[in-house]
Amino acid sequence: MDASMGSVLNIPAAGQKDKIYYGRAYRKLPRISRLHAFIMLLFVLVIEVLIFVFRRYLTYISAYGAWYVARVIEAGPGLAQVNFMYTRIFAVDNMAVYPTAEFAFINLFISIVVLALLPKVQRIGAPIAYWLFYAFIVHLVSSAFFVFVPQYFPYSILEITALYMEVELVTWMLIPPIVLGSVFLYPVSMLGKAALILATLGYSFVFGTVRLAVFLFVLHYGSVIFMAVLFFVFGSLVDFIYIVGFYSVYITGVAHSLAGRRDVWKWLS
Amino acid sequence: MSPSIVVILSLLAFALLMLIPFVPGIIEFSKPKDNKPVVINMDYSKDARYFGKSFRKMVLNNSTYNQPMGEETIRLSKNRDEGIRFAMDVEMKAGESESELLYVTDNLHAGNKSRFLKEVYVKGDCKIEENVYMRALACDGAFEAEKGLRVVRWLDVEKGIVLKGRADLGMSTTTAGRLQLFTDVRFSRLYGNPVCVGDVQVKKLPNLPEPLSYFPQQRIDSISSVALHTKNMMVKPLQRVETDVIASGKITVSQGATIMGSIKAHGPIRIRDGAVIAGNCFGNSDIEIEKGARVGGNVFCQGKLTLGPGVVIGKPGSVKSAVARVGMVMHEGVVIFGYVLAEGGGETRV
Amino acid sequence: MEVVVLILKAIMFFIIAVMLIYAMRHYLFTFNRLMGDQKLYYQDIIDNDLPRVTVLVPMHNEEAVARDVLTVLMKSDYPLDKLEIIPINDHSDDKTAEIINEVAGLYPENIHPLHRNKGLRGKPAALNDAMAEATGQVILVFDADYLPGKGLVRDLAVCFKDPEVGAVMGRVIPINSPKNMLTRLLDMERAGGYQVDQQARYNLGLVPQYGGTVGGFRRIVAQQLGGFDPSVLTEDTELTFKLFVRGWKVVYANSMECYEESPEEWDVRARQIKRWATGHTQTMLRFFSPMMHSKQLTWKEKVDGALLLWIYLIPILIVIGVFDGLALFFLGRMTLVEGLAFFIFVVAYNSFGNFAPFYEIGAGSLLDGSQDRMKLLPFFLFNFAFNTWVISLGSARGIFSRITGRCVQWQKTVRYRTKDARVTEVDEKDTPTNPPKKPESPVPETKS
Repeated sequence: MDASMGSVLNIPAAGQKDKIYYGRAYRKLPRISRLHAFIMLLFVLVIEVLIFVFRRYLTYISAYGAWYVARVIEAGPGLAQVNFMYTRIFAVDNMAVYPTAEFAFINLFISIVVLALLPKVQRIGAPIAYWLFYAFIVHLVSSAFFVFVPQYFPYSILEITALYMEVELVTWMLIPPIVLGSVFLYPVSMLGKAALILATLGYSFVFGTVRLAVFLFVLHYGSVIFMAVLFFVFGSLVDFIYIVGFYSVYITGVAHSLAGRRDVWKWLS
Repeated sequence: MSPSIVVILSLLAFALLMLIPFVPGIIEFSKPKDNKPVVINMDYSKDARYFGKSFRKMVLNNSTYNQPMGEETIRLSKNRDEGIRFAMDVEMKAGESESELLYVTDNLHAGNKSRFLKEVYVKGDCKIEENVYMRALACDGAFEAEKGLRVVRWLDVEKGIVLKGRADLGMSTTTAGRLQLFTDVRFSRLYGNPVCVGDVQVKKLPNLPEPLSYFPQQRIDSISSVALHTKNMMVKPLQRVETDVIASGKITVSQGATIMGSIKAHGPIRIRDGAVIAGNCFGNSDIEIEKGARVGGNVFCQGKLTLGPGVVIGKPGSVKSAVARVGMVMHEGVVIFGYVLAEGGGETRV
Repeated sequence: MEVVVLILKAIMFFIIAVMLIYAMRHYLFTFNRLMGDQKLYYQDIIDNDLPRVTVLVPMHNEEAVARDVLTVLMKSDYPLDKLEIIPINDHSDDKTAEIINEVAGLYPENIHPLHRNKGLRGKPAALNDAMAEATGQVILVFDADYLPGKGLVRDLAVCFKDPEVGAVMGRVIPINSPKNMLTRLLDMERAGGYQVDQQARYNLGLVPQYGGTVGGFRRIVAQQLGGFDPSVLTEDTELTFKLFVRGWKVVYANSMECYEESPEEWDVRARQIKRWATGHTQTMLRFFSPMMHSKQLTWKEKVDGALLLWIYLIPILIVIGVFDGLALFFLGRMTLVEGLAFFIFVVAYNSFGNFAPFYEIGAGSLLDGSQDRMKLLPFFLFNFAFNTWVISLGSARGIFSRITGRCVQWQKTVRYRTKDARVTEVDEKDTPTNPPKKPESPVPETKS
């Protein structure tokens, strides 16, 4: 009978751990070559330049896509142009729908009730409860604004979609360096890294377009009282999800590919 | 398409795009492939002679053979069944090669350029001629080898090892007795009582002073209360320092100086001829110990360790260690009572 | 109005700058751990002259785990004539006292229980009392849910041969990672925090942190520096900075691993990190100035120490940032930078402290040999609101306790171990031997 301490303690044995040949405490990876680093940096630079050069067209495609979907709105949204980054980028304009005093009050009341009840609802997992808490705090502030000082609401639909497109454009420009930064060091194929950057960027573009269309619907059918929630909860904050999502799949692939590579792993220095 | 359908489809598309990045995680969570804790070997216990002991145990536990000569297949691990040859006295002729595990119940004599491609267990003594290649060998007697020995993995001997010339010792060479090396030996781990380079008379070593307690009892306000704590430290020739010495830069201990405590430097350490460190010596950079200097405790070095002629680490009856992360050079006359580890590789020189 | 907007924008820029500094710090750590030179811990030193060690095991209502930790400690390969174990029964009202006495009865030479039924409660006070009775030159501490392996005591104690080492910290590995989503996320977070963050800080000569368990310190030094302050909830962080400010170093031992039980419920986790945040903030308020003025630390250590001390205030900054952003939004002064701020918040938030950023967790898991668990990384987003709020509350409590002088109550972490996982007896005949870290073993075997 194996009576080692591990077995007596009922410690489950991990699988798939036998493919790396140095102890985990001090194993490490080799430095990537200068050529590898140079090519990857050049690749990101080229992407940045391309985004900058085609910034007007990128915003056009995204704004047009959102407009095309949202054109079913009776008020008939239209494309508009605003100045940004030394050019005219595209955004979507529409008639702003303002909440009635009653609607704002109902929203305020619901926000207060939800915030009061959230700590008592055990069924929702804590992380989701805290997200809801955050969302309803934002909505509480927004509802209170439209209950007490609606005349001071400072945005038109165009202004907010223009801000949205500006943020999107800069997010697209930030994605390549952020993604490269997170995978730059791994001594694996450059093609994989390039594919990861392009996939994340592509997803961001599609996601950003669909999200803008949804924003337009919500602002039209729900009124601008939801503008704060859309911006603060479903805005650039959730862009993190797909960046990490794509990274997680990529790093899993890297782990599998490096696991059997005895030649790759280093020890201490 | 009606507006309500477009709105619903748009919301669904948005929800889907939010969900997709979670899908691999949801699959991993619902059908886990990698959810077990990282394995810790709860039975891990430091033993310099692990390889030899483990191999002996494996062979002795798994072999059912009770004849002095013959063959059987034994299970060495979960995925490894090996044929093992049993023999009494083995005389390997020059250039011969042994491709099976070998269990020698008496003595082994390996001729020039003979090769042992699998592990060998010798119950008696070993006499190894020039340029012999072996994968790993455990020996319960004494071991003596001429120049040119190449060990790929490990060598573990009960009654002492003498390597008369150039050798490449692989990952680990250990003995309960004396481990005597000469010049041009490459090594990674050594363990002996003692390990010495050249023909050194250990009994003639003068006594070392007892080191200070490294857990002092006096009033402590800062580390300066218990140690000489400076940026760079130069201990003058023949000076005697009655405390630990810690430097954020380098330490030089001049000829004939004595430090009764331990030393630690973040920069290089140089211990000049005939200096004595009664305690331990720790360096975050290179350490150079020159001719005839002595360290009573351990030497631990994150850089390269150079031990000059006649350097002694530890003292008879003690087990101490000389550990170097980057590499180690030992000159003739070096004596180390205990364990030697050169992570980046070590060598002996004249 | 313009002045108000200017102030709001200045606050936003400041918060974004702080976030970016933390993100860069963790990128540096990841880079160093993946590709830099790794600094060895002292585990390779073999020395037959070892210090006398006292192992302290603080326990408050630990009947589920008390027997296990004492049993495995008595299986240690440390010379028994130099090993003392003090289980501290700290105001327990379950069967902890009985279990301790029962196990101590089996090993009267080595296990010397300390029953505390009056006086201050909590780990710092318990450790102070136990240190007063301890005979060891070195104190090692294991929380009651920990399961130290056979060679751990020796390998932790040997570092005190280095005269500059004041404390040592080993690596914590959750044993209950398969349990649920929370334990799986905590397991990965630990990988990032220890395998990458702590080791990189050790490599770079910065400020590795003594974590209060799977670690130890010099008894005389800790006592002479005043012991542990019972009003501070993180005695480990307090000791870390107390030692650094006075010239001692904390070393990190990445190969000295020990299983722990991580929280399996979110409210337990909330209490745990709230306590950490409170204690850490208390320590920050106490040690920031002495640390910056200490002549014993290098400028690198001061910068890292400052970033480490301020880390639990980052969530408060995020909360301020959210309200700052809301104010700018409704004032109609939201521009690109503020719009992007929330993206930066999330990316950077996942770039600090114990709660390692995604690329650090990915790197840590990869170095551990994990291959599929990284797919769970997006779920860390759910921690964003949770951690931000809970830590903010904890940090605010730390500031409040400092201002008012009110003592904060210690809260025990719930244990989950079941009876079928209980240690009974370990068979001595299965003599363990150690596989050295680097080389291959005599025959191919599982590497971990």
